[in-house]
Amino acid sequence: MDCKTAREFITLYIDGMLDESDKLNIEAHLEECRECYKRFAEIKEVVTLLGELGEENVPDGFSKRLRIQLEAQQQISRQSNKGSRGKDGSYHWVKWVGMAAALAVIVLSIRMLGVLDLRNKAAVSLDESAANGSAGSVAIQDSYEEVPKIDSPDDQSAGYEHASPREIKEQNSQSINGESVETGEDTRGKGETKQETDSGISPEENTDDAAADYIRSDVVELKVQDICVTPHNLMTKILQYDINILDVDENSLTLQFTDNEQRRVLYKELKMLGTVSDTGEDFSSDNVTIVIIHNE
Amino acid sequence: MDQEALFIEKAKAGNISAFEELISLYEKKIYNYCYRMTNNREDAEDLTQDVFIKVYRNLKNFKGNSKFSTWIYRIAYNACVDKHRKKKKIQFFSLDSGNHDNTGNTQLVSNNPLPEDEIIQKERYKKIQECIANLKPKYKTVIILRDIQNYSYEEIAEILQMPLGTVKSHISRARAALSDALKGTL
Repeated sequence: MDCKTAREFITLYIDGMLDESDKLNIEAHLEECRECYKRFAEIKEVVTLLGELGEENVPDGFSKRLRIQLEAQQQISRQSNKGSRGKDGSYHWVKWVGMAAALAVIVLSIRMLGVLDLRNKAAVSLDESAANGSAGSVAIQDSYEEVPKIDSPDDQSAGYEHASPREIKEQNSQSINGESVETGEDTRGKGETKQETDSGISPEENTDDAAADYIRSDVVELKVQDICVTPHNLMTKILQYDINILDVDENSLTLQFTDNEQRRVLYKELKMLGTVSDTGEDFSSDNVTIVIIHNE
Repeated sequence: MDQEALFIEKAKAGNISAFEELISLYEKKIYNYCYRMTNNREDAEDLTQDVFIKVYRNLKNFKGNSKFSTWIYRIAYNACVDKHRKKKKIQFFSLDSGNHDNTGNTQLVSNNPLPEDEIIQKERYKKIQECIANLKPKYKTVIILRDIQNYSYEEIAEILQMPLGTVKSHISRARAALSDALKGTL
């Protein structure tokens, strides 16, 4: 037997997987080849070491936690058996409620846009009148320059194009125009969130305090005093934001986020209800479980 | 075995207690498998919970063509590989975090005067755990199943749904890689 074959056979020899003739051949080879014997001894040692590693005990409370999840599963399958249920056993009524909520949001937004449109037109005419008699510093140039890059409705940016930097400064001092400046900053904020989504949520962003106001990990604990805060109550709030609900049980609910804007609004919403802590370890998951803990 | 079939039938009908009986034999095995695959106890618990939930949900699809144990392990393997892929995306953040217990050596020596041999042995276990953690999932899984959990080559082939020849070469390569890695560290 040559060294190459011997090396291939070492593992099988250790496990007693060789037939009698191969076994005798490798034994003969190991006796005369010091290098191969050394390799055999090393591999054998690894196998022994691995065998000694032993087993860890399952963490305390494992079965209890599993039981809770199993009961939730049972409930879901019962409920979805009653209602309409897809091939995958998914929770169709939640989708329908979500879609209805989305539709409501769209209708509302269209109405709001109509109102905004009127307001912007008013603002533009005011801007123009302000431009006629203004002279001032150019302190807000930076923010002014960034505004047009953002994906904002045409009429808004058009409004800004009419105004020069110094006029924006002036707008700040006028309450009615101040409002339109704020709108501009809001749009900017959304642009930033969008960038975050593109690059994924990285730990660098986690340490950035300015961007810390959103849900980052896959598990969020919400400590509340109010006994009325339950997953089912929270659901109605969540549906407003068109966030997918994957799972609900007695003290938690699992959501699926599509963008960071949803993480931000929900974080804000949760903060109003109690103390929020991001306790998950998975920062890349779209699925987030909100665990509600009632303080006694 | 007959009892297992009975529990499976009851669990398929939604009986949670029967399901718990059914998996009680596998809890520790699957937890340890996940722990060795991830080298992280919290991840291991999450994964084990996920695995059993998946088993519960998909039990109606289990037709008994393979052994129940093999089927559970296959689900566990897939869950661990999924986790590995997700973790890889944020590797620069969490690579081996919590495993590099740099203060371990000094504490061990000063607080706990163990015989020298024992210290060396503990170091070796720690090292080999790190080495396992650095293997690719396909090598890691055969090492765990074969050398830590004592499954036969045939059972591993069934779990991973690969030819026996592939299992043999994977085990051989994985052991060689571990041996080399261990030599590099000790």
